[in-house]
This record gives sequence, structure tokens and C-alpha cells, in this order.
Amino acid sequence: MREATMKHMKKTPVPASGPRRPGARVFARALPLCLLLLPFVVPQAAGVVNAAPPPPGGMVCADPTTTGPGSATFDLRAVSGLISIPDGGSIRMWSYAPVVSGTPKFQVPGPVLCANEGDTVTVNLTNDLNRPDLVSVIFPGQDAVGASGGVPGLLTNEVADGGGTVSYTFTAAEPGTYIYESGSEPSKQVQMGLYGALVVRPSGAPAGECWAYDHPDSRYDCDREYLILLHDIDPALHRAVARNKPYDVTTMHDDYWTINGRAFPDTIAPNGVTILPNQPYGSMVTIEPYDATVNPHPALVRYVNAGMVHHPFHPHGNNFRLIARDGRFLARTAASASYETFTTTLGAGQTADALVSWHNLDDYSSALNPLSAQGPGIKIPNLRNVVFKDGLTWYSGSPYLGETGDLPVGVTSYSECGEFYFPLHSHALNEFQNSDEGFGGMATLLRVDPAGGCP
Amino acid sequence: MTRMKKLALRSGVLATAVAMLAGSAGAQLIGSVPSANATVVVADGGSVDLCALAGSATLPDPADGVGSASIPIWGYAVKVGPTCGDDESAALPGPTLELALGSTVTVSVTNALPGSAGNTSIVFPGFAGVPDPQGVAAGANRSYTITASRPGTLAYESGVNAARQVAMGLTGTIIVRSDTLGSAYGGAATFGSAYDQEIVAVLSEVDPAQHAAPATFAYADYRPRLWLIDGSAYDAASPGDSTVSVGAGTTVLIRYVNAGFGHHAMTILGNRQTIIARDGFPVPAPMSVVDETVPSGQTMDVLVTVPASAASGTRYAVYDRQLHVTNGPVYPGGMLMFLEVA
Repeated sequence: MREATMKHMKKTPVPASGPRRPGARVFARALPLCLLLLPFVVPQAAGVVNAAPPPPGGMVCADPTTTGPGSATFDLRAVSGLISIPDGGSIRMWSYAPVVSGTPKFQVPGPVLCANEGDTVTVNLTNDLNRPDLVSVIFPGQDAVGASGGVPGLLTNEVADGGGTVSYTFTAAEPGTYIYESGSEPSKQVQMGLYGALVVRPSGAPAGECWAYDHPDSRYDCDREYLILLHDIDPALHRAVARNKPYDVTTMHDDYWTINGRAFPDTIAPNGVTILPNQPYGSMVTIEPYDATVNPHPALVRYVNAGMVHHPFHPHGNNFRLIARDGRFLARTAASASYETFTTTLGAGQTADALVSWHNLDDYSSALNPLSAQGPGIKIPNLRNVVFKDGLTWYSGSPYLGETGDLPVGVTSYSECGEFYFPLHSHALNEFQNSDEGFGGMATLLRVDPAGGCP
Repeated sequence: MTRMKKLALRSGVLATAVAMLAGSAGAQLIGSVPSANATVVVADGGSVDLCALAGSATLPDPADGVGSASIPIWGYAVKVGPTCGDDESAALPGPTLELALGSTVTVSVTNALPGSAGNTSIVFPGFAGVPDPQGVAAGANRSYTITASRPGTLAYESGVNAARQVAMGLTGTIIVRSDTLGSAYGGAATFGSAYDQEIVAVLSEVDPAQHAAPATFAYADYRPRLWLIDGSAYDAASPGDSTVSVGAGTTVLIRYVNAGFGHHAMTILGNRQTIIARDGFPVPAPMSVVDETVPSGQTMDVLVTVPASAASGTRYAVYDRQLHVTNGPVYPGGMLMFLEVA
């Protein structure tokens, strides 16, 4: 896939702007017609109260049900619902629904649970699946997780529909990015959607600074924290569950691949977009060029692979700096052992953290580096390569960051102000599609805004 | 043979301290837990003779996961009589060979496989030596001499028609003891690698169709239905077979050997594992993970620290997070075992 020249994309929602932008402006932007035309069959759960809209971009921590000094409690219910996929279909999923004002709000993935290092975290789970399946939560990476209520299961306590509530309690002892997921027949229940991300924030960061770990080398821009939570879906297995047919995981053959519960291009729609009521989390990563004075800190990307297969994930346009695995900072003795990498294989169940920055190495501005001064190897893109069919393009008409130019009559650009877009995706390219419709699947975009963002 | 636990488990101190008692092939079976895949200590200058022969393994029924089935295998057995098969039976995986650092030993194989299997040989990835892609025909024997020049976990396997012969079970583990008692790597590592107890965890898969027709199976159809640790799938009817007792306050060394064709994301629940070596080479620095991929053909050594405060009965599940935790369609099963605090 060529950078910023996504020619064959069929459906293209307007991307979310970075978290520094006012949300109202983003939501005011026209929604993509193609998505509005989807036969939308997923009703919003009744009784949902959404006090404040989420920020349009970036990771969104769920509101704990209750908090106290050094503690956070999350009430979850296992419920069944549907997610939308960009080819027009919907898929039966199970999820850990956060309980909002007493009502479970079905969403995929489960809510992002955030805690501070040292907090006592309690997760209360009730089973509303209306099925014989017992459910549970396990917390890989957390030690000494206590479980009470429910019935003892193979990996932890489990709870049946109508069986009350099972409570899990642990100390979030170490900062980092973790997964939580079903510990009850996970070969079925994780596939069905019972998974989510757990983020533990370090206690050692100085006031006003954001660190991913208790180490200054893990510092990131507080306004640019992103979650990329991968999952893969075999719709035949989901249909088998929906129809109470035998479930044989050995027949698994995935056909959909999601980031934060959405398949591309829905992945780049803002958080909380109304047309995806059950998939609240976008995943577009928005950054600005590195600048030692005005933009010195990278963005943080928290990777979690909740799928059942490995995914080779990479950005275009730059490398990422991998700084942690499974909730441990990559340190050797005192010095950081983090490293630059292009493609990172995210093993099933693994987590990793990456710092993301983008350097405007070519001085891509018409003032500093006019075309006339460019070497013979640098050419203005051929419009045939940057305009894709149906007259839609990500290209601004100018190759320079933050500048726009002329486009052929009839061509619509998604570019707001000459920002760049780079694919950020699984390079297992069979996963770059929605059931044979590409581009789709396990992909999102890395958006590079000009310094200061679009005016 | 009872479907007994095949987790080769013993005290590292004990393993090293046991004298090399006389065995039929200069080898000695040891192990505090009865083990189908015996551990064979081969002394410097000594030898071990292996038979490659057909047999069967009793495993959970791969069709519906209910009950058990007898799965045809090809496996290694230590040769104890004049004719392979009279006193030997194939096991999954082959015997673990234990060598002292710096020793030179001879390993021979007698081809007692069915004629349709063709020739067979043994290769020793990680050891200096010339591969033997020709092997020997049925009834013949060939010897290989290897030198244990560095400590660690390695494997041996068939070097002929490996796609069929390794899948059928012709594979085993080699442990080269370090220069330090109770230390996996001793002076070969820049960090400590001491342990109190070790577990050999050979990872493999079974496609029953491949095992039913090993000579003719079409690999385009390869689709495993059983996932094994050390030749056993987790069986809810006999969970003790997949449970290893560990001591509070001790360090457990798990030697993963991926003898299968797929990658496996080996995960521990409720604890962490510190990677100390891959393919018998100490890593630049130990790395603490929950979940790490053991690629096909690789070995990976990890240390698991059992807290001194761990209550008796505390269990740490060790499993493939690709969620190959079923026998056929039935959960629980597959590549799943438990460390249970005594």
C-alpha cells in the first residue's frame, strides 16, 4: 500500500481529528455518505445516559462504577449484541458491558479499565447472556487475583446467568498495558468478544508529565495516548453460537479483523460516533511533527492482541519505538533497551507499548524546500496515483505538509489542511479487508498534522 | 502403558547429582515422576542407541473430544534388546537426552519404521555436524557423534522426510547441563540462571488424518485437532496428568521445545516468566513476559518464580494463548497445564 495514496478504498469516513481539537467541530463535520447508507440494524441499548461525549480521538478510560482513595471498582455484565462491519453486515458478539446508570451498555471491546499503580481494582461480573455458558474474567499479567462469588472454574471463579455476581480483586502492582478476557472456554468466549484492555498508570511520573512506566524514557504527550486492540473474527463461529449449533474452534477461518472492535474504515471514525453505537472506540493516531521546543514528546500507542493468531503490525511513514512488552518496560540494568522497529509481531494475547513521533526530515514546506530546489529523485506525485476512484482522495493537492493545492474538477479531498495520512495496519494483508472487500479489516491511519494542527 | 504424566520433572540438583548408573546402553532412566518419555543421561564418550519405530499413543478422541482414541505414531525408544520393537515401544516425544557440558557422545538410530516411511536419520540442530538427508533404510542403523559445546535446551529430530516423520513424533529434547550445579546456563550466561526444579515442555500438534496416513497425507489439508505438551493433551478426566507440583519460594525452569509446525504463544496466568535463553543461547538480558511466542523449531527457556507467600493449592495455568486449549472441539484440553503450589 502506498503512503497517502489509498486508491481503492471504497468507503471512507471522515477521520477524527487529534485530541487537541474541539470535539464539537469534529462531530459537525459531514458523516460519510457511504456509511450512512449502511443498513444499520443495531439499536442503541435503551436507557443509556451519556453525560459527556468522549474526546474524538485517543484512548478513552471507562468511568469506574465507584472510586475511592486508592481503589477503583468496575461493574461489568456479559451481554450479547451486534456490531456493524463496513461491508454492511453485522456480527453477533458477546461483550463485557459497562453498567451505566444501572443499565448495561453493550460495547465491543469491553470498556478500557484504567487504574493507578498500587490501586485496588475490583471487577464485578454478572452474566446476562441468557445462555447456559458460564463466564468469567481473567487478568493475565496480574498476580494474586482474588475471586469471590460464582462457582469455582478451571482458571477462576465463573458465574452463570442468574447466578449472581462474581467479584475479582487485585492490586494493580505494576504500571503498563494489559489484557483482560474470559477465562471460561476462552477458545469460544474470547472469539465471541469477551475481552478488553486494562491500563495501569505509573506512580512515579512527576506532576504534569505523562509516563507509561516508572521511567522517564517512557514519557509521552499527555494529549496523545492511543489504544490499538486487535481481534479476529470467524463469522461462521459466531453464527454457530447465535443459532445454538455446535462450536468447533478447530474449523476457525477468520474473515474479519478489527481494531478496537471496528474494521477499517470505521476504525478512523471518531470515538463515540453515533453510527457505531456499539463500537465506541476509534483508533486513528494523530501526531504533529517532532519539534524540540513545541512538540518534544511522542505519542503513546498501547497495543493489545486479543485475537487468536499473531498479527504483524506496522505504520507507514516511520518506525515506532517499542518500549514495553506485557506491561514491563524494556530495560537492561539502568539503561533503556527500547528499540526502533517497523513491523512488530503482536503474538496472540500479548501487549506492547510504542512511542510514536514523526520528523519532518525532508522539510516538506514550499518555503524551505521548494520544488525547484529539490533533487532529481523528488517529484510531485502524479495525480493519477493520488486520486482514487469515485473522485475521492486523501491528497490535499500539495505534497507539502500543511499546504493545499488544486485538484481536478470533481475530486473531493478528505484533507483538511494538507495533513498527511499513513496506513497503520496488519501486514498480514489478507487481514486488510472485510470479507474480500479491501481496504478494510485490521487497519487504521496515522495522521500527521502540520505543527499546531489544522487552523 | 498408562497415560501417565509425561512432564519430565525433577529437582535440578537431583538430576545432576544422580550418578550415571549402568544401563543397557550406558544410559540411566531417572525422574521423580514416572515418565513415558524417559530421560537418558549419556556420559562423556558414551552412546545411546535409539529405535525409530511405529506405535500408538492414547490421546483424547480428536473427532469429538469425548473419550480417548489410539493415534498411530512414529517415535523413538531407547534400544534395549537385539531387535527394535521386541522390548521397545514408541513414545511421544522421544527420550530426553541429557549431556554434560563438553562431552562427546554417540547417538545411533535403527530404522524400524514401516517400509512406507522410507529412510530415516537424526539431525541435531544447534550442534556442529553434517546433516544426514539420506538416512538409512528399514532395518539399518546409523551413528552420529555430537559434542555438547555449550549448555542449554536443544532438540533432535528426523532429518529425512521431516514433514511426515517429525509430525508423526520422531523428535526429542537434548539438555546440556551447564558447568554449575542447579544452574541452566552457569558461566555461559552473564546473569544468574539458577533453578530448583525443571519442566521439559515439548509442544506439538496432531492432525489425526495425517497420523492415519503418514506416507500419503496431503499437507494442503493439514489441520491439527489436538495440541500436546510433552506428548499429552490436557484431559479434564485426568487433570493430575497435566499438573506439576511446585514449591513456594522456588524457581521453576521451563524448557519449551516447539516440535510442532505452528507457533505457540505460551502464557502463564497469575505469574510471569522470565526468558533466559532461546535455542540454547542465553538472551542478552533476561526479559519478563506473560506471553511469548515459541516459534516452530525453537527452544525457549524461562524461569518462573513461585512467591514464598504463595498459598498451597495456588495454581498457575500455562497454556497456548492462541487458545489451542481444546481437544477437537471440546474445552478444556490441548496445550494446557498447571503449576500447583504444594
